[in-house]
Amino acid sequence: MAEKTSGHDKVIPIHRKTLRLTFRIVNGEVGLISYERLGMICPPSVGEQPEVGKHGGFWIETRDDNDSVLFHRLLHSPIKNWVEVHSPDGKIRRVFGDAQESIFEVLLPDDINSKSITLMGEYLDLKKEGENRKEVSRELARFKIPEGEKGGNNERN
Amino acid sequence: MSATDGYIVGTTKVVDHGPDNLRWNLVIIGDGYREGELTQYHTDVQNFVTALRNTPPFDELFCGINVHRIDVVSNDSGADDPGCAGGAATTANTYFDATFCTVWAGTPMDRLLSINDALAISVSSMYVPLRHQVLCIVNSSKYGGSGGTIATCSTAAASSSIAIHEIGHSAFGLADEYGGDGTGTPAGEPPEPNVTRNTNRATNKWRALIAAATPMPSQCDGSCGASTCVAPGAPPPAGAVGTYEGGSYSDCNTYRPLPSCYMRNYQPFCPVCSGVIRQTLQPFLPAESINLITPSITFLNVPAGIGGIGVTTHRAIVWEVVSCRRLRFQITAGPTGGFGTPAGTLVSVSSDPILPVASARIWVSYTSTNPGDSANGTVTVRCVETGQIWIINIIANTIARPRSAVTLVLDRSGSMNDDAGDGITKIQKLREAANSFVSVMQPGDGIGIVRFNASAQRLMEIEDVGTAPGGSGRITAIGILNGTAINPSGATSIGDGVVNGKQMLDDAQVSTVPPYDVSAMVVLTDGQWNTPPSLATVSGSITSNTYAIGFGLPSNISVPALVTLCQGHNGYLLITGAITADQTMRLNKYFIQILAGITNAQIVADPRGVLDITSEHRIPFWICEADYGMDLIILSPVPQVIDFQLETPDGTRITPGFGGANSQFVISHNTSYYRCALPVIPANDGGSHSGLWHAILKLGHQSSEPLKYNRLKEFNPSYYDPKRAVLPYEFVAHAYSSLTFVSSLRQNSFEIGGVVHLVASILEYDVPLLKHARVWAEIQLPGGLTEYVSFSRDSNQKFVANYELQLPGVFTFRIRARGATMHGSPFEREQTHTAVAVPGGDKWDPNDPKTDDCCEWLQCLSEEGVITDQLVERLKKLGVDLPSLLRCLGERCKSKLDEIEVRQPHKRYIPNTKQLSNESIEHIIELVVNRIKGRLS
Repeated sequence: MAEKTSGHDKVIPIHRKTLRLTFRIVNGEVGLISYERLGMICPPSVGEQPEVGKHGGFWIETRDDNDSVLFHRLLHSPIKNWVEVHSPDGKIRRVFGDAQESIFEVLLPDDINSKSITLMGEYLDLKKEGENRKEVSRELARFKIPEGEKGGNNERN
Repeated sequence: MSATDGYIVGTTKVVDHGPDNLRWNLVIIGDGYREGELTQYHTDVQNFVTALRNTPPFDELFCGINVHRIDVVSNDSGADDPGCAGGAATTANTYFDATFCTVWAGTPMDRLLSINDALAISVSSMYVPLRHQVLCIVNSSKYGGSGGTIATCSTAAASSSIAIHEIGHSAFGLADEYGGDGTGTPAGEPPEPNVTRNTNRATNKWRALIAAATPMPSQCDGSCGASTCVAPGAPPPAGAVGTYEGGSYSDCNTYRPLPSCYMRNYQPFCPVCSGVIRQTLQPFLPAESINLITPSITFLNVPAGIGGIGVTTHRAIVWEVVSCRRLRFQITAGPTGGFGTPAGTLVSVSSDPILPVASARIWVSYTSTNPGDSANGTVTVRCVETGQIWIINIIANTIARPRSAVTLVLDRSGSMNDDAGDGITKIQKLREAANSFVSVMQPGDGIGIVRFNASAQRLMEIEDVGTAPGGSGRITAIGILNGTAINPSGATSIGDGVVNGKQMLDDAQVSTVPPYDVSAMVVLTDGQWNTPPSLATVSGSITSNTYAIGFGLPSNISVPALVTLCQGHNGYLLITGAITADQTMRLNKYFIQILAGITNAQIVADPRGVLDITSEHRIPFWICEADYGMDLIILSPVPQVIDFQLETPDGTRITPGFGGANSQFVISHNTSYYRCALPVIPANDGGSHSGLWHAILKLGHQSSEPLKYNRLKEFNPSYYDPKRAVLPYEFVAHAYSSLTFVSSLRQNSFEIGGVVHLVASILEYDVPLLKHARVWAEIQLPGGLTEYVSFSRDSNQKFVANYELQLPGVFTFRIRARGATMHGSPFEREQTHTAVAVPGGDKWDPNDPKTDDCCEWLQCLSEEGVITDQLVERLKKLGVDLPSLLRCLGERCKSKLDEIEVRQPHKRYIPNTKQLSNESIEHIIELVVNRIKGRLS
């Protein structure tokens, strides 16, 4: 299990091994395209544990044998259907467009109790975006914890 | 347009707060930098690192962060810019294919600066596997950037804000806090910790930061008609965390913690976002530790001051601190025992921007009193943040000023009668320089004199020089130096001189109670040793500091042997080269510099000049608060006709007749000087100590007796020229100081192309001066040109530089330092070294003196019976008048022949006494002709 350290606000678990996962989303499908085990500290979760049925947005969870959530990592909208544009006048805006192939990385604790990885979110298929936007997040995909030090793996449960 | 458009140079860890597996690792890559622009890239990286560190809360978390810089060279400079907002389109072939005007939804976005993310990820993983975040800096001054797995920004002044904002998303999971029409806003509660739809203070996700008096919601967006937000009766106070409508791309019913935040408009991170960043980086922070490095402070053997004024010195109580937060150390009691706190009683320390460890220092001062006195006390210090308390013991004692015993080991071989290069004989130069040395020595120091030619004699045993002027030791020494005892003649046995000098110092240490604190030997020679013992033989027995001056050209001096002699005994060799008319007192200057080395004085300035009857020279020099005494010295053929005054930093004039216990003016044949304790005017500490001083020189009156320039005729006729009326001088300012500059020159090869290694250090109260100091060398080349070399710092906080000797001859290295003390006072220091390069220089054997074979050969020719009348006649037919030739050579080699004669008395050429064979005659003729040709060529 992870060590713990006293932060300014609360006790924070320290995970000294990290699993770096690289995902690809294309045509409404998500795949785990590579992974790597790293001997470095994994940044902790931030914020409250998001709940299915309550929260929107995207995040990734690791779960144990009992399907209990061990860890979550917030994702800043992994679907690449927008860009953020910064103007010299100090204004920031989002500009939406057609979804493009998206590749994103996630750092998760390399915890022996973790058995699966779930991608939580509102939708993957942007053709249904208007409809989906009215829904809260749900499980979109699930993956086995990959084995070995590094490699490619797109196996879904 | 890809990785084929450049190459990767390598990676550098520019911020190293610990092992990568324990820290949060930021990787920075560059795009659009050509090879010649990598230095600019390094600057741009540093600028970003500085910007990040200066952005709260990263300022207090920075010791948990490492930064790795990957140097990538692109074929072209800049980035693609299709000119979508007007202007000409430009294309740049860069490694990561950076481009502005990235097309999105069919529309080019002028400020959207993107790169090949997949390639950037691949390169980053390859070079820094343990990475948490990657940033690409693009070499363009146009404002732009983008987010995603790789944050991207240009070098425009505000573009680093884009990168920090985007890192807020990718590394810390923060949401955008700006509003919009709701497109992209999550349907449910946003999962990010800094935006919400919940205005209930009891269940809001950042409720811990919301004060009870803050209304909820705290502010509504009036422009949003569909909002259910109920505006508060009174707005919350500025800075109060609450729920402010607008965030996560929606102006309605979505709330942020404060009106402004980096995630909305680049303003400082709001408390909620700051807390998230802290929470994320908390596991990466090193454990806080505070270790007292100096459990006691000792002021051991502080010398009594000059003129009875105490010497104030400082020592620091030092803690080694590993912490990301600012820690304050406060003196809560003491110091007792009369010790001072010159830099105050409170010090704060923040984490080092680059290294994991910082030092906190509280300074304690002690002012020496009378020899034999001691003091002790304690000081209590508390760390304000942690509450830890330390009680530190302080002890101190005062001793008499360290005394030095010096033996001058002086060459008086026949060649010392030769011209030094400016029309004055070497022996006369030596007399003047040694006079200056003896005149400036401090009362209580001992002087002894050894002379050597073929053998050495002790002319004066070590004796206290006494008062200045007029001390008995001084008078005796000067009498010897000016007398016939060192008149030149004979050969050169430097080794015998060194043996006698060493023995003289050893004897003095036995016979003097208490023994001298420092013993030193100064060896002056103008030639190569040619009579045993060799320097290599005697060098091992020497225990004193040893300095040498090579008087003349390096080809005539036993350079390697003297270097070995000095470098092994805390000294150095200075070589004058030929004395030129514009540096006629170079030898004096070298003697005075060596005296500074012996007495641990610091050289503050040493300009030279030429006075005429109309000029007044104002020579500035800096004195700092760490200096407690100074000697201001004029070296001149006739110092008696120089009106020499000092001007304090507040403008007070100090003249020879100024009086007071802290200022003494001394004049002798070739030297005049002020010896001062600081402050010079005790009642005016602020105006007569630290600051910019001036030495003011003009020809004219000196002391109470008016001396005009035309009286030069009485003192030194060779400098009197009523038409020109000019007088050269050298000014040297020495400081006795707790700010010490030490430099050294090491030469491992004497060949042309050999490399000289230069090292310097600056210590202020024994602590390396880390900031506000630079060191450089002004190198005078054999041809007279000057080059400059900057020093860099090595890992031991020393300043280092290398220089290649590309010409034959003597190189003079004037190593200079300039900076500010810990109190901000300017200071200057300098020291001169010499190096030599000669063809075949590494074939010099210290134990095999190079002979002047021409003169030796002439000596053989002069042996009785070697040259016959037959030879004279044959040469005459060839147009060579042998007697005239030998007379001419004899004049050139007179001093050498004198030396030879001392070693092996012989008869001079007597013709017609013995016949030589024809073959021998032919051979001699050939030798003579070839030798003459060789000399002519």
